[in-house]
Amino acid sequence: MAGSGKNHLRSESENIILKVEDLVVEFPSSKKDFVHAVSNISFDLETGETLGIVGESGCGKSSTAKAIIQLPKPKSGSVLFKGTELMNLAKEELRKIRPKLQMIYQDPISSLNPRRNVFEIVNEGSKIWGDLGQETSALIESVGLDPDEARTKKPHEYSGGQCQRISIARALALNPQILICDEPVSALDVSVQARIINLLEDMKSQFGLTVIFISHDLSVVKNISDRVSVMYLGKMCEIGDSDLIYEKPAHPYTRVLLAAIPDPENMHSGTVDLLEGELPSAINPPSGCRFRTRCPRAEAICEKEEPVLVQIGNEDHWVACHFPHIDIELDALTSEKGEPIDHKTEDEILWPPAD
Amino acid sequence: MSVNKDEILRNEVNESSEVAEAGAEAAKKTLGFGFWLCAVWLFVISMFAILAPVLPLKDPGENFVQYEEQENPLTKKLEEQPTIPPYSPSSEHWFGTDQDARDIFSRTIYGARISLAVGGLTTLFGLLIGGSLGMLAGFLKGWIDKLVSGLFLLSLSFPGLVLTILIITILDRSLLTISLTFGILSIAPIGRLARAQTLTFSEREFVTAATTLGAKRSRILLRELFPNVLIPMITLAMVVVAISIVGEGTLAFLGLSVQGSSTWGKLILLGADISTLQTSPWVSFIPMSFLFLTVAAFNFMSDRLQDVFDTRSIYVTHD
Amino acid sequence: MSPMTKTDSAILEVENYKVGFRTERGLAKAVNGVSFSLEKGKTIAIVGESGSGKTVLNRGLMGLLTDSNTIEEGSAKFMGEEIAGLSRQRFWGTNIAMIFQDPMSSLNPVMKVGKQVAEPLVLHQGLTKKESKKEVINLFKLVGIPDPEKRFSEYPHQLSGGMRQRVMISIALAIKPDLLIADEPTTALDVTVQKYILDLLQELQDERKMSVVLITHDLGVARGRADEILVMYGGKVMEHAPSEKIFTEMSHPYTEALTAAIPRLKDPKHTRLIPIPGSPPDLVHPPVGCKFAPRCVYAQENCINEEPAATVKGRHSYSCFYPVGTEKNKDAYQKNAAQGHTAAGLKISRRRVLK
Repeated sequence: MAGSGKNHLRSESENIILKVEDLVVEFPSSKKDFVHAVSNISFDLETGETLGIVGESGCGKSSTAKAIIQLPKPKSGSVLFKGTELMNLAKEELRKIRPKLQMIYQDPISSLNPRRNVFEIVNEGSKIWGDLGQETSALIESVGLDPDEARTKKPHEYSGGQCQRISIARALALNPQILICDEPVSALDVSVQARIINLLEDMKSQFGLTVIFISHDLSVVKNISDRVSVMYLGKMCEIGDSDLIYEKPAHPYTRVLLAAIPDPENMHSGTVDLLEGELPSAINPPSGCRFRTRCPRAEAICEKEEPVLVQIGNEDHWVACHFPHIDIELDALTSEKGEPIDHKTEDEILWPPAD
Repeated sequence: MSVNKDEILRNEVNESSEVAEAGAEAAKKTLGFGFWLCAVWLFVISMFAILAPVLPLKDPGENFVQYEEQENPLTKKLEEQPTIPPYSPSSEHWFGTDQDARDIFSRTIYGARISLAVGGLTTLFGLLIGGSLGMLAGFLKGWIDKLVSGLFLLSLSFPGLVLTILIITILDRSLLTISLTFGILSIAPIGRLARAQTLTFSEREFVTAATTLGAKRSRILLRELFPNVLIPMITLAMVVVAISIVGEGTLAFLGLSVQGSSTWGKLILLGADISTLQTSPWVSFIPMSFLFLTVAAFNFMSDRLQDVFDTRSIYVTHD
Repeated sequence: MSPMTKTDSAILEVENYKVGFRTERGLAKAVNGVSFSLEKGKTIAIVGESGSGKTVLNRGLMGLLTDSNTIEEGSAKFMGEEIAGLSRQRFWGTNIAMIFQDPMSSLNPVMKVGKQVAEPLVLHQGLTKKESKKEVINLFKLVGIPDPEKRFSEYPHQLSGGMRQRVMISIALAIKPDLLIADEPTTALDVTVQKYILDLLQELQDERKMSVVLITHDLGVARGRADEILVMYGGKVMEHAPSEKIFTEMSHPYTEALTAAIPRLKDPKHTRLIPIPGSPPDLVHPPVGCKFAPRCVYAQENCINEEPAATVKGRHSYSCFYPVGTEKNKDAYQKNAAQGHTAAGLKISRRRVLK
């Protein structure tokens, strides 16, 4: 099956820390069928970058995350981490590399062992690998919790937001280079979300991390990511700089997603009609472009030929579509008064620090 | 990033707001007074049983025949004649004596030694073998799981009592044999539970997290899974102790209990004929009460443990 | 007192409604005096985070607080009749329908969905099995379930989340309700499905002149879909505003703080979010005075000692001594910034924010 192409991979860059190529993840379904969770996607990460992966249920974003850390090993493809091919590693070698690729999970409480106290949980990394240069007490403090209390308290004695912070501390204890966050704030209250997002940003600069941030919440992803990738039914529709994608979405699916966000100042509101139909089966996905069954722009070619990611202009903006929205002059989205959105306004506001 | 002190103070606050949000569910569940009462009973009875030889108990085998003065109808003289046991409870014999004038209290305590030993050995065996097999099966899955599950199924298909009787008849009626037989029978129930719990917990994210951290499988099994599977296993184990004590009682009624020593079952049996039950109920009643209280204590404690440590009722902050 | 003029067309009248739970630590005042009224055909959104009391309030309005450890006080009238404290049996005679957040747990997994929708029709409206099936298929068409005849005989697990929610809506509509109470109906759904469901509810509402109580944590959803918004915190109403004014004329510091914590689409990437410092209040021993004072940047002495009464300005009411946008508010902030902390001890410092 043809992939979405690799034109968007930045092969000239010296800073690529992770390169994923032709990733395929499949799960056996009933009888002889397979769920095609991820079908031939490729992307890369530069050191220090945050890549956001958005999409709705069934798009394969979570499967992508798990595939990168080989849990479980994807069906095929290449995952190159700093020159090492993770797909070929023997069990023990893979285990040794694990500290460098850490993950934060969606459910804060169930990602912590209910029978152990929190200090032990954060300390687990150093128990396995010896001294990694991170002091457990200091880490617990740096995420805003009391280390002495942590010695006696168990996860269920903390709130969801605090548990997520414990998870982050645990991951950071291993001095990772890549941090994959799989819907880390979806289960949290709005104000707690903000705290975790800020914490992740701070930890990222403090530890020099490269981050993959997976979420279905488009506003959150825009806030935290440098680049964004939009997935649909196992395929990558669009990828590029987050500001570009959010301002000038080229793929019809991205347009629909953005238009649906209930933000009162959403400039995309009302720009597209509602999405028709239901999500097609992942066992038997549509041929050619997988979005064609619900796309207002679909034509005959969309059924026959799968679109490849092509660049828009000279910018970091790639779209996989036969009929993308690239008429920038016509489609540019402006503020209500007809002026282009200016992001340079600064205002000094006095505010309390939250953490 | 400094610690936000306001936040630390409000840790306590967080819990109660979730209490309210979750409705009337109690935030903290305690084991309760009943639990500890049972624990005390079990402790006391075990101590008595273990320390029996050094405690100031009457000799369980000695016949404390009592005499009183009665007129001999032939010689018309007062003579010392033995009164007919069983003797009712008195200051001399707190729980009375049996038909052979043996002190019931002392015999009950000595009987506890065997009965509790059967319970303990059985469960220990079941926990060690069943627990390990079950956990391995649940963790490693694959052919090991198929093999072990098959063995469990086989074991559960055997009628326990019949098997016990068979083995006892073929081998001997020692404490070890009986305990081992019961132990073998308890492997499957404990093992199945261990397997199911291990499977469930393996799916939880904290186990995935441990793998991501780079923990070896053995470490995950021992440090992550075992502490979680232990409590449900103990809960079941307590019930197994209770069942095996009763099981010993059943064997006694069939005349197949441990040879040589007295057990609660045997003691109950000794006093279980109609006339004794009518005139001297304490002969049977005392050992029966001890058995009942002990078994009930185990069952009750097991219940409370399950209630308090049910980790399925974990709430997540509302989004 | 309710800020809204009570008219005869008020379908729901809540007056000083309170709900408390007996816990080991004492009485948790989950809902601590809420008053509002809802007119026929209108939608009111109740917005709040965990611990705000919105869920408990909702359960109370739905007649689901039947635990012996629950105490209800005050009045909640539906069409003039008291529903607070009504027994379950009598409650089902009323015309209130409800839909919940998680359709999977609200639907019986071992019963076909068609039958589940048909049940209330057969039981309460005395339809025959055949008649009810016809009505169910009509309802399915109404809510946009494709292939309604086929879906009738399917089980919940065979349907997607969005479909299940649509089934829930048809169950709710089957009794032709005058009032629909929707508890976070779209939180668990994808954003495109969310839009569809909310659009659908709005359509049905217009058609049937149904009144809606919409519980949500998302101010954006509230703004877009409701006529009025009730912002709750610590079991009390902080602000009650017509939805068009909630962002433009927001008056309560909590509403302001909530808005600042949410990433906004129009903000550039990496905009620092401003979480709300502190944690939700202890409902057993709530703060004397304003419930939000411990976390409010404008807090002054009187906020801690006295509870502010509601200030009513037409259809907009709020409970605050130093409402946002007023001179008093600016002065209060300056005072706190100068002394470095609020009257409640919350530390304050300067921070530059991109607006």
